[in-house]
Amino acid sequence: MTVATPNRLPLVDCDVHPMYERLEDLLPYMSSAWRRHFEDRGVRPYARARDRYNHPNKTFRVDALPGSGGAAGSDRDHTLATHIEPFNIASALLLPQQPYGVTAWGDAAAANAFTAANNDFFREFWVDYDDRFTLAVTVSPHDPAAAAAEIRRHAGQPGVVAVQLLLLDRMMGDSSFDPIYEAACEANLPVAVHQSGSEGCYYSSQTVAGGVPRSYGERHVVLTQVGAANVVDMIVNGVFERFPELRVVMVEWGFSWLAPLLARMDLFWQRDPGAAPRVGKLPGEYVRKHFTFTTQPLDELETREEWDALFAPEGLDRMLLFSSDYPHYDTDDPNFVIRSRIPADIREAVCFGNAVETFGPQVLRSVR
Amino acid sequence: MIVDCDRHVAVRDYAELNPYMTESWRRHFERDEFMGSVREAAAHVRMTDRFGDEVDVGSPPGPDVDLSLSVSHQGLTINGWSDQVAAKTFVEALNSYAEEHWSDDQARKAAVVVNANDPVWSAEVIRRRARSGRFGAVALPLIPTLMGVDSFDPIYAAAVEVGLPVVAHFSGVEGHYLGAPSLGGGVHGTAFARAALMPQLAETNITSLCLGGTFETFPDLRVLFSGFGFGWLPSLLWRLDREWRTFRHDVPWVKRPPSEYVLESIWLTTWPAAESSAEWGSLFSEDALRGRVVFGSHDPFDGDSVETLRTVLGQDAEEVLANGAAVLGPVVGAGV
Repeated sequence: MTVATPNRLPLVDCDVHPMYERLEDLLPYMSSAWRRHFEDRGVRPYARARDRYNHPNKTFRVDALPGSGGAAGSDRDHTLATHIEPFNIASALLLPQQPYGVTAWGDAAAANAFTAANNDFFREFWVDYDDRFTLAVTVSPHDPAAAAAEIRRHAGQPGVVAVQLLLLDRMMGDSSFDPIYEAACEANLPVAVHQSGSEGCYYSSQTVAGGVPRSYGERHVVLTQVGAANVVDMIVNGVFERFPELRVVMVEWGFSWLAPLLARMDLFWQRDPGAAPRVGKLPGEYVRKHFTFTTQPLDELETREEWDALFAPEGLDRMLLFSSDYPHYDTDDPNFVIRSRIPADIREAVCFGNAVETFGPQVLRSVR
Repeated sequence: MIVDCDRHVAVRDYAELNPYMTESWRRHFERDEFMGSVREAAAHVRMTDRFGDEVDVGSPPGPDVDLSLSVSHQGLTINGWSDQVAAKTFVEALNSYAEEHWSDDQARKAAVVVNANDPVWSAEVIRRRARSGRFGAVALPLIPTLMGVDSFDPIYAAAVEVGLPVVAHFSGVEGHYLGAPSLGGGVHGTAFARAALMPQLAETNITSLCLGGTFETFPDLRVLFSGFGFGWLPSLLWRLDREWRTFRHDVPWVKRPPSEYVLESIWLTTWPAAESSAEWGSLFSEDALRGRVVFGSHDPFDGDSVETLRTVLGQDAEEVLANGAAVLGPVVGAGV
């Protein structure tokens, strides 16, 4: 349990990845038929086509490997000891990454069984274990009705503060997502979207613009485009006119592209509102009301002028959430980012204020 | 000095191309549906299905413009065609038409359109067309092969040899027609969304050119991204350099921070300038970055006038209005 001290802000880290250690961990949360299915056929719990975009080194921090021998992020005590406690993190939003694998699966029922088992496992073994862990329950868009039911199954449960929505090729503004958004609004849970690794890999994936980047790093430069495209798509297709209470958390898509994009959308809409008939006001207004963006990977700028410009866009102070992306290779150091990079006047908002606005007070359930 | 690097020209009627085709190709193209689509495409960069707006395509730039580059957007739309042989025939007819009608020996230049799906053929076209002295650039219709892929090397070698820059401009079918490049995410059902996301094509191709080592192979290559705006460039350069720092051992052929290649070899046109006024004021203070931005009116499609640019950029406008001389280079610059 964390106790907020007067001279230290409670920190909400909105991007922490836990992992189950072995498939056997999930089996108790499945029907006997699915147990047999996954035991017989195995599971590919990652989405990126590793023979296509192979990481030049490791995707995780070597110092995040637990002594127990499991994968980075698979030992809750190691995560607590090496990340949560040293940085005095009051709440770590858990975004389980193994369910990302289902974005490359064609079997909707298998995807649902696997994501549901992950949700139950992480609730019981992580969220119930320490109240500094909060969870985004994962749903897949393979079957939106099933996804909505999964959201309702976890609604109101302690420590469940968001829905982690996976993406196939269909854009987030498509009305097929409406049952998911309806359930999320009903449960008062924001929808969080994180890159899965499948982007640019499969016919069933989201993709970057223009073509096929050659390497992992080349793809990573423009992966932000997928987040940007979905922001545009949700606005253009009137999602927030249909769901005025919906909140969307864009995790690890960056944010320095946002201001030019909104300026472009606002300009085009002012010139020809008839081209976007489901948009009822300036596109930027929807973004400022409904979206938040996480800080990692924070751009690495050189001049004071650039830093000032990065945080200058209207309303950004209410849209940024701190994130580390622990235990991945490009984890942002919380102390460095918060003390040396986030402007003092928005530090409180970025550390926890915006998170409380987005996820509700339960995101700080560890703070008494 | 005022240089307009993004003007659009089109034939009103397919029949205008007849003199530049063989009889058999004339007959091939003399189909109602094709001729209709050429007529429709004259009136709009093919961003939307709303054709038919009467615009004065192909009119010469105003008297205040000292040097201009025109691109045939009808030629660019071959990136949505299925028949690549017909596509080459069509753009060659357009190139012939351009040589006679859209350019002169002095300050009004057209871009010679090539077919990215056939780089060897394109290189031959570039060398042959450059001899006339009437072309100011090579227009490369975008295809799903990114511009940093070495299959484009014959095109770049020819462009460098004849001293012409390569210009990449959307045709409008990107993210819409099969065979043309996608936009970010998935399928975008509205022209509004596609227009909003069009700069992503420039982002990915700039990234590809830099991390593919194109400018190490062709240090004299000049590339103009036209019609994509420019406010997003600083954000891209931050990501580009960061990823290079992280993964530079994976791209050993990239010898320098990628932004350095951009600051030497890539230019962006201004349209629509109003969207980038905030970034211009806050992030374009260094000369190296300011020099990348060149005036492109995008006339006659919802274009920015010289006065619009002056309103948006204030006293900096004169610098940007003149910047295009650098990308259009010595070949055409000599004619001014």
